[in-house]
Amino acid sequence: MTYIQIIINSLIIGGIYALFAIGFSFTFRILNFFNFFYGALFLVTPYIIFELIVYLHLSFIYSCLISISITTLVNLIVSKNIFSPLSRNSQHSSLLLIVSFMLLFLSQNMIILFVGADVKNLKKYVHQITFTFHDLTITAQQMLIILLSLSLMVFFYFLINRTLFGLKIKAVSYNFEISELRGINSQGIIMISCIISSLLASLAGILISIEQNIEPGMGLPMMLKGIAAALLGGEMIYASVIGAYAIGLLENLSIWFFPSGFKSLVLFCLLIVIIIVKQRIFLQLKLKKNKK
Amino acid sequence: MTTYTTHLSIIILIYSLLSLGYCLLYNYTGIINLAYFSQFALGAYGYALISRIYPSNFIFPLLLVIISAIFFAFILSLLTRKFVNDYVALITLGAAVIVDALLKNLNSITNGPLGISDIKNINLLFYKITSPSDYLFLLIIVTLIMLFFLNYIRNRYGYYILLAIKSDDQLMSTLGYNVKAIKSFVYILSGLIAAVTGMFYASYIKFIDPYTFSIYLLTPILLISALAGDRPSYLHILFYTTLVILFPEIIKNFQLPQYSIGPLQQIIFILTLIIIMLSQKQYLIAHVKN
Repeated sequence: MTYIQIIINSLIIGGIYALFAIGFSFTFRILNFFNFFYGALFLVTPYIIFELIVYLHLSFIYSCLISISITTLVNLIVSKNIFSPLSRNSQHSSLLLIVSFMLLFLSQNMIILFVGADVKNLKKYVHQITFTFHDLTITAQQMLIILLSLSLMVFFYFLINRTLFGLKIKAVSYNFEISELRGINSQGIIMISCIISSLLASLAGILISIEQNIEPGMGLPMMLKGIAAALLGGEMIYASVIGAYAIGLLENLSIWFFPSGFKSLVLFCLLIVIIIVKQRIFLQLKLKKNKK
Repeated sequence: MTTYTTHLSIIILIYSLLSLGYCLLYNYTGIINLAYFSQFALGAYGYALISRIYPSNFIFPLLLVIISAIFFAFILSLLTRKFVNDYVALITLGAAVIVDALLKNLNSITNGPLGISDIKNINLLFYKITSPSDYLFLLIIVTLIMLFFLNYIRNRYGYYILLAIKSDDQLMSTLGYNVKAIKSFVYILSGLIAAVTGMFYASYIKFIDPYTFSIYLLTPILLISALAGDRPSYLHILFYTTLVILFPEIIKNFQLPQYSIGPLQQIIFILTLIIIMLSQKQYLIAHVKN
């Protein structure tokens, strides 16, 4: 029974990671660098919801909608005014990474300054319905998480692989200039991809807030997990989804075998191993840049 | 000199040495190392642990710290040698998080999140260094030794090789330079500077915990490195370090609530850093064209 419970827990947390990883691979395709600001969107969304519920007494659903629109707007502004001028002019892509990393850290500090460094609980604002089968327990929210993540994965798989829009995204990520020449509105595609990715980041933030407590430091670990899953998958969306579930399972299993503090240790050793083993992706990226 | 100004001068010297190591790696060679504070932590924790066992000896902890710093830097360079830019940053970030998790969780060795207190003073053969002014004097000597050492290396090999590697490492390997070995050497050099500085930091402050070496505290160093520009001399670095270290002292005078000082300081640092990076793009391009 314990093993089944571990698998269910892994499905829940893996589903959230998968959503996050899909969104991350969207930004990675388009912007071609590890955008840590994506983690900031994930981090900020639950805090905006918390503020809206506590100070403006809005309902959970309304505050979710408002916070998603705020983060999407912020993502659009940041990518248009900070990332695109830097990526057009800079020779070093690590500069972009540092800027995005600093933006993640900026949002973390702003949360500490304006909301507080302590752990917040959003679960109490959501009505909890618990189902019990023998020893297994699962809440309605957790079922929603599993269903939502699975259905969104299928949706994005078809969006990328079976539609014209997916083909356009691939074209723009492959070569910006040539796709412009072929009549694709590259700026428009980049904008839509930004919107989609920030929607997914916010959704992952909302889902994690109804599953766990939220704290200002949760952006970076989540970001590293998302990167690990996205790198594991490479060009294929479904492979990064499998990677995300694998990370969820590994996390739950590592709690079983090691003290809880070593959870992050196991994960980041895995991240380094993934990067070193999967040099193929790196080579692809390099080829892509050389062709430009 | 009052105790306060002596303390500030020591902190400025420590940070300037740290920034020097970082600038060697990033501003000169173009390698980004987010595990830099882990190397700093290695020196501090190494000294704190070994000096407990050998309280009267300074040379032995120093040697052990130097050996472990070289070893750690060499491993980092091995891990990152096949990669450039983003992937190097990612691997070093992973390494930093791993070191952080180890410091927090190896309770029997590092005392976990509580940290190590009551670290022994430095004991130089016959003279025990206790007062802040002694530390200041010692740090000035250490800085001078390091600068002399770096100057020797520059005269022998020239910094231009590092700058050329930064601009185009593939071209440099085509020209017959062993780029990987040079990069490893720079990693080791900057790691050594960080670890030795960490040692002095631990013995001066007398208390260290994992939060002292958090990845986020790299912000001031990044800011100094961005301010110092492309080919900074030590005096440049010292000047900008003084600015960055003295700035929070000004914030403290505004009588803000205690909890808000840290985040506010970080926010201002980050905003300055982003503005510099956004405005520096012209400058970077000019350098590459030259």
